[in-house]
Amino acid sequence: MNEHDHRQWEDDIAAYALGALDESETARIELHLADCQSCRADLRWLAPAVDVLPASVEQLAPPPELRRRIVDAVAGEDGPMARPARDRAPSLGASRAGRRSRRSSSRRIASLRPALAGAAAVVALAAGLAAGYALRGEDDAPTAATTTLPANVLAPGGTATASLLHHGDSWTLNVRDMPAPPGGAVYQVWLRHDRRMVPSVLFVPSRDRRATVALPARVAEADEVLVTREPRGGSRAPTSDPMLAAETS
Amino acid sequence: MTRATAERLADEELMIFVQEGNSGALEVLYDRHGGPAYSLAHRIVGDAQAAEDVTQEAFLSVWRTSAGYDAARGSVRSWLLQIVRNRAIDSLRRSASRGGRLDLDDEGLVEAQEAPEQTDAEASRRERARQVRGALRDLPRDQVQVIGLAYFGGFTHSEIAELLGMPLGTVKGRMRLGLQKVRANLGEQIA
Repeated sequence: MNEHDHRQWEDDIAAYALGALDESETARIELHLADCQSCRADLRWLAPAVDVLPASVEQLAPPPELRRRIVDAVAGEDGPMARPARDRAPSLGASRAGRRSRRSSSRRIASLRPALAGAAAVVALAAGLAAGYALRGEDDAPTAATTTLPANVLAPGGTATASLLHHGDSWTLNVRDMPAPPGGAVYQVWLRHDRRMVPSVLFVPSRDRRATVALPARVAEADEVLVTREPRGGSRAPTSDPMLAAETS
Repeated sequence: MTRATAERLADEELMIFVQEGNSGALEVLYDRHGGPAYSLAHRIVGDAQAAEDVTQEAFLSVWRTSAGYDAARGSVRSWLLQIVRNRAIDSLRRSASRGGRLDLDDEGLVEAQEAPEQTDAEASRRERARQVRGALRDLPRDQVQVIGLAYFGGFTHSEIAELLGMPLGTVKGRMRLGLQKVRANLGEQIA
């Protein structure tokens, strides 16, 4: 591709980011983007300029009844389902078509057992350190129905303590003495189902090196809860060895 | 999960609960982003009732298709507002009232009014909005015009070229120059 051709693509990328290409042009540029790292980088750079455009409009307060309408409509639905293709474009500009092939769910599958076995386990059972945080709020003391499960700290030399609290359908991971991850990274929770790792919530400890992390109810179906360090935004499969591990029963 | 707990969670964490079918998590997302969503919809469709319908459709879409949200590809807010924008443009096209809200001298990009601040989060959003408007205010009018017609009007670059009576390459070039300047003005804080 010569320089002139590439400049033409550059202009198309701006129009694409604004959602201003027709369907055939969109399909054409998406083919190109799949093969052109430079143009993908260009799109990623431009996309925030489109993402901020909604902030430029007059900010209006929606009528209060709109909230009730939405709540009522949601209550009348069965719940989340497989999404339609039209909403597959999250944030790389305004184009209405999907832009990148999504990783198949099988890519999420990862076995961490070897890593787990290899990690130097500095076990810090935290059953006695559970601070009583439950999903009902920090001011609530744990009740008799609250179960505290110890977490193993797997990072070599790790000083953190952690525990998994279970109260009804609510699960919380409590972490103490855990340093903030360096370089803008985050900690990510994973739910292990046999050999399958399912990504879950992200967290960063507060300045006092503590974190109280609300977990989804599906923790109950998992065999183990694990925590790894991941790049900002999280990952779809673990990219580092687990630092914490807690069995769910 | 209590309301107080949900309010402490980041949007990306709330999405996990939405995916689980937790309607309370969706309500918190609405309370955070319902205003900007409604404002964007109103800006595009130019009508209060249609804006309400678009906002409702968008949040129901979030509810139904939450599994499709991918944190690696952007924030929940960007994803939601993109859905709002798409639905609003669809509504505009359906109603055949396109153009009623937009005119070729559309400078609404830099005329935003500010609603009263109620919370720290809103104050933060207002500050960001001020930064965005500052970035847009620096753009030449012809660049604002093509960006506004594309993003808020749902016009393709070919349609804009026809509307404005200018070559296609000029339209695309102005779009690019405008976005580049906005992006540069926003700096790394948005990256």
